[in-house]
Amino acid sequence: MQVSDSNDLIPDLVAGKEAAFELLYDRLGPRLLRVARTIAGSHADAEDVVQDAFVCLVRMGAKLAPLKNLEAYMFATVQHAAIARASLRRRDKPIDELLHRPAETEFAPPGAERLDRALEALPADQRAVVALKIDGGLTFEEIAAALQISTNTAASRYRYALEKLRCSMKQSRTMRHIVSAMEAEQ
Amino acid sequence: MNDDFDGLESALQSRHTAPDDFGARARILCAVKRELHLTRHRKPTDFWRFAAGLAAALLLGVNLAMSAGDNTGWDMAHSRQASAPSLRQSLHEILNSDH
Repeated sequence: MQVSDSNDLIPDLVAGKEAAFELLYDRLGPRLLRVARTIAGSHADAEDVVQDAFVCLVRMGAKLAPLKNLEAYMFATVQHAAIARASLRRRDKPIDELLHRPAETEFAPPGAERLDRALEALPADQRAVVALKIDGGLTFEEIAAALQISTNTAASRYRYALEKLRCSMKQSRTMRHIVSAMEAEQ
Repeated sequence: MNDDFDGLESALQSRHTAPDDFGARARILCAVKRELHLTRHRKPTDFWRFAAGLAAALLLGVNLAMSAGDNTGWDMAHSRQASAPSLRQSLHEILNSDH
């Protein structure tokens, strides 16, 4: 198991040094935000989740000292919280919004919305692995450490997820062809 | 990973040309700063809570010790002396009742 590079910050984090939190954010923040965004499904929720993770870190204080892998801990915290957010959001979301979701794709390339929808349809454990691999840039060993699963399980979840994504992208493409063919006939 | 998935992986990687997260950074670090401030001001409260708990435990201990100290007039020697004749009499009565 690769030892986290950010472990050197732990003593300063325990001491409550603001600069250490800033450095940790600069190292992990953008990746954590992307992971949370993929799992939770919205930028606002992702920000809340990452903010909560950092605030928890402050509250932990001396309990941080025995941590073996700070980065794995942060990614695990964020993915758990993001999954919880996503399930709450789905429960509370009105059906109209589920059917006609306003896309958060101002900055996204074409097709990103379809990919996002396909990702949302994945089971939570597979979506988490894809998010940690693609958006977090973690290796399967690091994912296994963060999720407390074996490396093989992490790799197979990733593979299943990609297979499902490919399948749903193909279905979506076929549907678009059918719709455009019907429109052309009319 | 399999070559078949290469295209899909690169599509996944490029699907969010992330907006500048400077706003998120500022907000999150501001929340961290606020929490650090609160934590620093929470420490004395924790100390006084600990001190109050310790004082309460000490008072309880002293109280129990004093109660135990006041209640040691058990007079065991006297009770032993007093019970010897009654025991002898009880034995006598039992032995007599058999015959």
